[in-house]
Amino acid sequence: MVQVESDFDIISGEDASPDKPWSVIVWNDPINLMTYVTWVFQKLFGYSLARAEKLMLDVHNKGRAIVSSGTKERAEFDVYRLHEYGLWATLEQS
Amino acid sequence: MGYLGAIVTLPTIRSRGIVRNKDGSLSIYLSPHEKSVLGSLPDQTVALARAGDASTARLFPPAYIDDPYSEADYITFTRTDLVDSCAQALELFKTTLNSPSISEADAYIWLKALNSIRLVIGTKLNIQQDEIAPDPETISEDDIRSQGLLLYGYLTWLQSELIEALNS
Repeated sequence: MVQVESDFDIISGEDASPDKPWSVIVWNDPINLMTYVTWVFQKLFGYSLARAEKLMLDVHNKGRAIVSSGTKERAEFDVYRLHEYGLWATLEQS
Repeated sequence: MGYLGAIVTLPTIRSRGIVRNKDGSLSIYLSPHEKSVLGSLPDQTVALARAGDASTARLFPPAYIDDPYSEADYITFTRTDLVDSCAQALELFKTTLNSPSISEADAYIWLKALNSIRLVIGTKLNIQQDEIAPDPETISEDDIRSQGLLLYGYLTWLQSELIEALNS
């Protein structure tokens, strides 16, 4: 019984909580323009100007911001689209 | 190298270079000299991207910071598409550069193309936050970094113009 639990722990440890959502993070950088970052958020995610500007300012002032979240596949797709527009985006499990 | 060596003094940045029309298209007001300089940039950028040059690191950043296995998969499945997407945008920018006006859809691709060029030049110049562009009047011919900063500043202005026109 103990052994079984131990195995289970190892397995769940390798595939940590598959139901936990993944976050897409955009990082601050010195090249991308603030107005461009806002424009990309609006265009890719359909966010309002107010929401896109708030996210952009979070990136600018705090160094990073979560711009979307979902399954790993969805988050990776969003990262890919952000990379297409030259933004510094990564994904990580919440 | 090509970037930093090719630039000559650009005209003083003026009020408007791109203006939104009533039908949604955008009129381009750039001098032959500006178009000549801009037209030389796409092919250089594509060549660097296809070669995987270090200056394109910002064009193709990592998706996973702490997971080298997932990052390797991400590169395997996306890098070719990302390079092709970048190259297509730069090609369209080059071929429409001499048009008197461009469509809104093409303007989106111009934005992406200009941003790609700025990312590569900015990486080459090791641009830091809020870097001040040099005064064109005081740059000597052998001051390669200042000439690069001048080109970078011009591209920043043009990209801002485009965004402002699209938002108007």
